[in-house]
Amino acid sequence: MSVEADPGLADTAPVGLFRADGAMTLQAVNPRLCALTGRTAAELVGLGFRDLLTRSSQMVYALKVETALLAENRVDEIFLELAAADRRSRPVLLTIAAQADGWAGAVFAAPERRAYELELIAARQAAQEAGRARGRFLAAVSHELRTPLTAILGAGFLIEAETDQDPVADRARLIVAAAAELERLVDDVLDFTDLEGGAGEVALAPVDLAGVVQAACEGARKLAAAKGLAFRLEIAPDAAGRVLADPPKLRQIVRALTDNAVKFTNQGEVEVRVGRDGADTVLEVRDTGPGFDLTDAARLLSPFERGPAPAERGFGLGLATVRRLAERLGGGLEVSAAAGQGSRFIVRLPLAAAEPAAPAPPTPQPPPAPGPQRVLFAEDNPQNQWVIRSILEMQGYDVVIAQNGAEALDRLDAEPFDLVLMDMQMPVMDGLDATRALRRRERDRHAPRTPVIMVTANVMSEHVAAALEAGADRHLSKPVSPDALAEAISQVLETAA
Amino acid sequence: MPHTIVRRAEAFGGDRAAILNAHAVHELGAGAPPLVLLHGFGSDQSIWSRLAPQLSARRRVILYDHMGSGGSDLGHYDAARYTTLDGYADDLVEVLDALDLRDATLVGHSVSGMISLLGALRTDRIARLVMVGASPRYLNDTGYGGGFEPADVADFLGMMELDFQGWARTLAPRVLDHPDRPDLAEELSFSFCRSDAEITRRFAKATFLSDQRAVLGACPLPTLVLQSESDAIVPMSAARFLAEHLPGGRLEILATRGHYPQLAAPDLLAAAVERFLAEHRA
Repeated sequence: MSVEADPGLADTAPVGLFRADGAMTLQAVNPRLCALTGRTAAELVGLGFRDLLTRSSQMVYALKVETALLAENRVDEIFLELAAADRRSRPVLLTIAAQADGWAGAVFAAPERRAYELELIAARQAAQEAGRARGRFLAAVSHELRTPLTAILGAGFLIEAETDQDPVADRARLIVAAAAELERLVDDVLDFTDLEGGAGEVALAPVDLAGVVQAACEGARKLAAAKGLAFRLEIAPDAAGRVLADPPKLRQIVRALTDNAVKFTNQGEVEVRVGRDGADTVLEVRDTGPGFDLTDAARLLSPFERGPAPAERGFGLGLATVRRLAERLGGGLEVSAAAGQGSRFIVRLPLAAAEPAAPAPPTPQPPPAPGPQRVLFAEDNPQNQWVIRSILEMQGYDVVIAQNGAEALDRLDAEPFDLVLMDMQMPVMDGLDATRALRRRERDRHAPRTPVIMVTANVMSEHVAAALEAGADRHLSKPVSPDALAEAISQVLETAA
Repeated sequence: MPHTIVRRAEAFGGDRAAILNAHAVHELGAGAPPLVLLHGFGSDQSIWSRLAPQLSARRRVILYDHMGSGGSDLGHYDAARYTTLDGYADDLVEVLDALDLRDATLVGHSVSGMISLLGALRTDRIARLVMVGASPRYLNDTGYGGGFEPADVADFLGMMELDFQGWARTLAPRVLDHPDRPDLAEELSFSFCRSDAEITRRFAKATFLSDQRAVLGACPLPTLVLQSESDAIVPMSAARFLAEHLPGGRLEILATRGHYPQLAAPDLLAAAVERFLAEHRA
């Protein structure tokens, strides 16, 4: 025995209902559909369903409803707008399913739906904009901090180099150490902003793992020596070869973990081990510092959270950044610690082995000294002009200063230089435009290529990329240490030679 | 001061396999001259799954996904490149070059009618065009019935944005009713969920705001313009204009309705293509 549905029941349904033939021409409708469309049943029957829609909804209907009906014989709750008789559009959700002899459809009024979706979109946009604003703010703060830092650090270096009288040299060392510490804090903020902004794309390159780790440990090793801590670095032979890695990210991970370990340890030792576990490279940093309760671990790994002890310093970005970096590289960060028993951080990274390096080129010689080399330095900040000029002159270079990019181009037109150091942000013409113009001129005149180092407080990865794309050979972050400047200069001059 | 970095999608550097991979290129059948099926806005190569097996009985058939659609590799998506249809036409030429296709027949659905036309103006690898539900311009103009007012298109873009989840969901119908070809079903499954609203919106703008009327006269290739009896996206006036202004154009009305004859009437469409190919042999 079958029980037929009562057609009269459809009259009270709070949803528009229709039956249509194979070509979606309306055959029967309920009162609610008449109300939604502002038409009588007699007016509706015989119309194509498509004709009830606004023109833009007809596009949606043709592009997705028709396709879905052809492919799947039904659609569920598609958002469309009816063209109501009062010329106002009426948002609805459309459901259609195939029947033996055509189609059956339901049209559900969804007036709040549009407002809800608009709210979602607005909320998403606001969140994205807030994130971008924060990134811009941090980048601007960092830039502003770096400019005076360059002067402080540079002046400290110069005093330290020029005197061996104890009290003065000691004070200079204090200035340098404090400025270096400040720079590291600024770096922490920037690393984090860079990663948050999504600029932290992974760029794999073959590198010597041992070399990268050793270099990245240098800062922590010095700090450890100053605090009287033992610092041990062990690299297992099977982990020491060349691997495919993202060198800057790898350096950041090692630097952050070792810096933290030394910073929080007041006696005992810091030990760094690099080993291999199957396909993973395992970096382990262990210290004999205060350790922490594991319940704090989750908090430590969140940005802007800091350890429990009030004596601790830092922005608390370090561990969160390391975790993000490790995850970007396809690995992870593990923490094991107990309060009072030191901490152990383990980073696992799936670093594939790279082709062995080509036979090492002859050991690079220190920069050749065929008479003083001429350097053009474009920089608008007088303090930085003075500091970097002094460092360069101390290293035996002839230095000419230009106040901005346009002046630098004029000087380059007038006489040849061995090297150009270019600030990025300058009045009149910035360093990027000047570098692009220089490269264009060289091409047009078939002139030899003058190496350009972009020395700038714009240090986010997008700035590095912009510098290289403009035609710079290298990007160097302010503040600049004499060693870093010397290394960068000898590297670009060698490459150019 | 902000520095914008423009990265042109030059990533392939002529790397054949990379190009084919990035566009999820698939092939069926064998025999010359080869035929390329190009999907339109809002779908991907699986839109051809009712037609490709028939056409591939006699010739090599190639399918691929436009960048940003279906199984294409979004890593190669470049907003600047795909702001107009030219980027899609450049891609077409790259794919034809990578496959070293000659004397090819292009079957372009919807906006891909114009993409294949722009491709034909860039390379001599294309010998014939079949346009299905194509329009040289979707907006009305003085003396031209494109079908839409600018406000309609703006509303449409807004609706798409409002209901992107629903839109993406419905744009992923399983057009895969080929029990005899499970491999096809496997390979051609839609993957629209990966795509994002911004990409779809940009493609929609490139499509519905384009105007290719001025270049129609430059294409001498034999061109079959196929139009269904009733198409909400392309009015008959636009299809007629297209066929009349293409020097080698001929309009044929398919006895079916809607914008997707390859789904609604694949047999009719296949027969029309076979007749056209028989008339215009290599």
